[in-house]
Amino acid sequence: MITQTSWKDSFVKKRLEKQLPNEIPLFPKRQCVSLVIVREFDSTAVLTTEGQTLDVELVRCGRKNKDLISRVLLQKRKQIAPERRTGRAFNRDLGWGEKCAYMEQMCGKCPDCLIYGFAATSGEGAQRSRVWTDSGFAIRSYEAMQRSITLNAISDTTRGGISGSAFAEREHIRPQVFFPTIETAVDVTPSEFMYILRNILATTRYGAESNRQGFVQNHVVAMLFSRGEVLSNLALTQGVYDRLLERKGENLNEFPLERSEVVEAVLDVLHEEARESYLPVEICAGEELQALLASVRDLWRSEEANEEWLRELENDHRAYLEKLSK
Amino acid sequence: MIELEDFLFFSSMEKGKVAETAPLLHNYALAYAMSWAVSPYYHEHQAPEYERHLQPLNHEGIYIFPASPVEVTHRLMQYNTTPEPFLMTRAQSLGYPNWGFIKCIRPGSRFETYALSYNPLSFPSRIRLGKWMSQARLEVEEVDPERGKGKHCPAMINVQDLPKIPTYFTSMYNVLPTRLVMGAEWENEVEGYWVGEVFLPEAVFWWR
Ligand SMILES: [Zn+2]
Repeated sequence: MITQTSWKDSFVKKRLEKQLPNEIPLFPKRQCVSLVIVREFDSTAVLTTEGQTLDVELVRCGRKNKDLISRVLLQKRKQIAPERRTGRAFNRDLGWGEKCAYMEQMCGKCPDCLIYGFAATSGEGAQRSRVWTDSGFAIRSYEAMQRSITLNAISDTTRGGISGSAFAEREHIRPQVFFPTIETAVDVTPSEFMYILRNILATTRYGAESNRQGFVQNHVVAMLFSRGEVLSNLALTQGVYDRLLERKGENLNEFPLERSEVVEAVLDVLHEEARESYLPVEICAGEELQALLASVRDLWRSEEANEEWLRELENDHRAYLEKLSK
Repeated sequence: MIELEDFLFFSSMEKGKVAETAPLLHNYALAYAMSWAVSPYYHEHQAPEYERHLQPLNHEGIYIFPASPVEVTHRLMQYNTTPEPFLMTRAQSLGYPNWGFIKCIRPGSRFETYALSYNPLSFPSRIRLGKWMSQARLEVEEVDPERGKGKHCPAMINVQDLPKIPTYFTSMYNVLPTRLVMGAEWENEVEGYWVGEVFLPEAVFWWR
């Protein structure tokens, strides 16, 4: 049996239409869809702002545990910049925004400019970003990660990689470090949401020297539908820490974390937040999310459906630019 | 009470290669952050229109004071030659150096402010602030302010919004779009509100 995949009738579009506007509004309406992503570093990564040391910040462990710990940071621009680059490469393939030079001469017309925002170089015109993010915080303390680094140091030296000196160790984080993060798309159309989702799922390298390292798997673990933001990355990480500490006790700092336990803890935190929220929050996770992601996969694999989606994206933007020029 | 859950940056002063963030939250920025005042997604001219956007709030009898620091710590961050989106506007308009430092406010820092309203007011539980649209958490407590007169206000206030300019103040912050002062004192008593031990002067958005 051959089923015809189309964008218009896809499960994902139907689900998004329930929450998102069908045209880009001129003023904020705060119709939010948040993507909850567990970013898993599969290889070493250089997460430094500048210089030699890892970017760390002193924050509270959890929301129940108020002790202070140093956490490795994944600054918000380090998440968004590579994802925008992915999108811009995709645009060039499609012949969109060919004259658009990131940060230098932004065109103000391509999906990247209109969704993630831009400011015109020569004088006038600025569009605010409709994608909101926070800095990401690793779950365990920097010291705990350092401990697992020492455990792994032998294999690195035999590979002829990092020498194992304290100096070099500090520059990198090791595989299996998780950053629970949320990207919230605000007042985007379903076709725009797909563009953002594509950028997240197709980006695999983050951090400095990302051609050689910084391989990241972005696991989408939930989508939240709401009229405002539900929680920040820091609050999410702190909630996850509390739960993992309850379950594992002091072992939390001894061994690398498993992805499945991180995901489970993330979902627990989201459900608790949704219960406590004054405004309704719908959580799409588990089977519903899998069905939705399967529908996304079908869509991108079908040439016709893909074209249909991109035509709609183009139309959404054309309509918005026309509204602006009035 | 407003608690930052990310690094906050807005440029309040530039000293050589360092762009600093003053330990305060401007009340106009707060009115937008709460979604009480709205501005469009697209700005044709990059000049904000505070007066026009805030005027409707005066009609509704809503006012929010600037937020004073309760516990604020700073952190210095370096940025390099890679052009970063968050510096974009300034970089281009002011010929920003292509490397330098940003003194931002760290997550966990807390501020306190007061909002006045005749009718019950709704607050979002989370807001976004500053150049980086950093997330912050709100904790709201309802109080019954008493009308009265006073001569001294310990909280951060916006001179632009006051019918009576204070005679003295302990600190002044020259931030955009209007300057803010703390520890204001008036020679003669002025109208205002008492919230417990704290006196707040009568204030309206963009009075002057
Ligand atoms: Zn563009």
